[in-house]
Amino acid sequence: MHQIPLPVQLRPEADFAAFVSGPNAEAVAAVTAWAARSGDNFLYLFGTAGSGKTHLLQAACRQVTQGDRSAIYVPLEHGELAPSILDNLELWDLVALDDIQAIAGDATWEQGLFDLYNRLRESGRCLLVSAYTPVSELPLTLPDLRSRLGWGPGYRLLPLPEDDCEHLLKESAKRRGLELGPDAVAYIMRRCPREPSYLMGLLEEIDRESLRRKCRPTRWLIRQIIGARKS
Amino acid sequence: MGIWNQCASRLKGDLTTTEYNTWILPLQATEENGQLKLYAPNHFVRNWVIQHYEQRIIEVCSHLSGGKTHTILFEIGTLQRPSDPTETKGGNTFVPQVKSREHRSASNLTPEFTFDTFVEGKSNQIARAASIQIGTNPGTVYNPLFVYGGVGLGKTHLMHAIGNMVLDNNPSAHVAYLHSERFVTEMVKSLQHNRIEEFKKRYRTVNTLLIDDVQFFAGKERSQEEVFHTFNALFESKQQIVLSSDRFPKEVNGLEERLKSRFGWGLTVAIEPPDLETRVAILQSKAIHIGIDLPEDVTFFVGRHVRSNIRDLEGALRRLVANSQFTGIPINLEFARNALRDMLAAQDRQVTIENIQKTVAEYYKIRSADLTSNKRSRSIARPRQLAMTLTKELTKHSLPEIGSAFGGRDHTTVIHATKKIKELRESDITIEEDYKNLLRTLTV
Repeated sequence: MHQIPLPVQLRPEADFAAFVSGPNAEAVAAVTAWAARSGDNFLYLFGTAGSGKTHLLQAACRQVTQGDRSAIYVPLEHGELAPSILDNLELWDLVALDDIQAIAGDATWEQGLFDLYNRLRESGRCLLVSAYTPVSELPLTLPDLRSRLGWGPGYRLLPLPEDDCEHLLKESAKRRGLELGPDAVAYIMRRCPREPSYLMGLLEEIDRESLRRKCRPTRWLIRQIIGARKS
Repeated sequence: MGIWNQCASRLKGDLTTTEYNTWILPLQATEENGQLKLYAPNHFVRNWVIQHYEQRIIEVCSHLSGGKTHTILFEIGTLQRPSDPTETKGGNTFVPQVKSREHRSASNLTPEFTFDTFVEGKSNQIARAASIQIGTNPGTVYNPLFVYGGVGLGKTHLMHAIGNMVLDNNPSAHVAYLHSERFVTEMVKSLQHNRIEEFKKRYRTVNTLLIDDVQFFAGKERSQEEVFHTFNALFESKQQIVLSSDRFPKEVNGLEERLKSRFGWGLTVAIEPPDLETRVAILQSKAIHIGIDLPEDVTFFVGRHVRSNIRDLEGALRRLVANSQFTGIPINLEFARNALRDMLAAQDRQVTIENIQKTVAEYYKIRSADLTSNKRSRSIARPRQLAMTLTKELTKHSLPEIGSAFGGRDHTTVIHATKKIKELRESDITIEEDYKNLLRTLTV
């Protein structure tokens, strides 16, 4: 059997409770309403890498599927996908497509996405799309697709300020049951990119290593891990 | 209860809710002579289900039937689209609904898209008038009606409005609205399931057929063949056909000549991008429709900045409303400026002299450098004049600045260029089309 190493499975930590909104409270409210089907059916999120798009898309899908409805998360940046993955996605109640800039400019993908959009709309389903840039800056070749993506409201996700990153780090450590002392937190904040996806990855590694070595996440251990990451 | 329903209900208990709702719920099944066929919506999902759940499904089915082995086949496709009430269910022929609301939804019409909610302006008044005539007297005045224009200008709204009007006047009329892509998909599915005769009959026996975006039939020969026969059947029996496209019938590439000529038999009308007044009127109408109070200076502000199409206008309005509801701040000019900052910045960034030169050069298949060169042959000079005119139209640059950006030319050359293009647009349909296409591309 051909293995499918695609990250379509929702990450366990990706839920709304674990998302630190910071300056993005309005976008988070819009996505939460989308998942509850009480807001706009079509939403567009944009922001740079690490701004939390994937987390929000997955959190929305998780919320939906924990009720009695279906939702599917599709990461388009994954090179192994073919446009046929968009076939019949209107069978799900909600569809979340991550990183559509990855397929912009490819005529077959764009046509597939345009057709999917129409089918979702016709069948009263919902679509949440994310990209790096606003719709008007996506290098799309199909104007029909561009105008449809711009039909629903678009929200920019701003990078989290330092305080919010620190808050996120502490809260996420707490959720993992990881005792991260104030000096360890300060150490990480001084030396690492203030970027949620980096910090979450680091936290996972700290958690794993401290379990493996059966030791507390001291500054020493953290310094080792950060050093190994840099090299 | 069939074996699949029992199996699914068992899996629901075994798997996490998220897993069940994501991967098992969308599967469809048929059972015949001890054989269970599971239909996954696409190739990817089929592989995923096999890889992660096949074993469990086999075990559960075997357990449910007292150890008997079931043949389980995993197929790709769907038995029936949820939005497709015209398809047959479980072998029974579809029975038309009698209730008008359900009848309307079986026609695939959006009840909100009516002539009342369609804002008339200079850019669409002929198309609207023709559509009302057709809605009042389908099959008698213009057949087919062919509406063409750029994306997001209201073609779909007009088609729904015609369909809704036909049903208002004659609730038992059989109206079908569909996008060309859906026609293709349904046809392919009918061929797969040996139901092509049903498919043919379905669309050849309607009273009003509305097909949107026919340019997407391009290159799909088998579908074009079917459209051709459907067209003939309806035309001969004096049933109404309404078609839409992004361009004039003769210019739709990849469409058979016989279709192009038939599409032009009746009345062909264009919808142009709305002017400022119409954009403002559209915003006001949509604001009233959703029950919000939009100050006049805000409608003018949005109308002036969002020029490309009506979908973008709606997108901007939705963003304003959502922002206002979230913050509890009433919508005023300052608020609108802030809320739409990202959207407007992107639009302003897009229309630069360089961008215009690049777009025009690509359109005419010449080099950007040609536009700033000394070459004076018509194949270069005409695109250059068009590019200068578009720059004057779409940017705030002064005439000397424009002249300078086009190879250090004098501002009087820019004035001459804009005059020339104005004249040509009136006398030469090709230049007019080129101008509109470029304007559309640059402002989308």
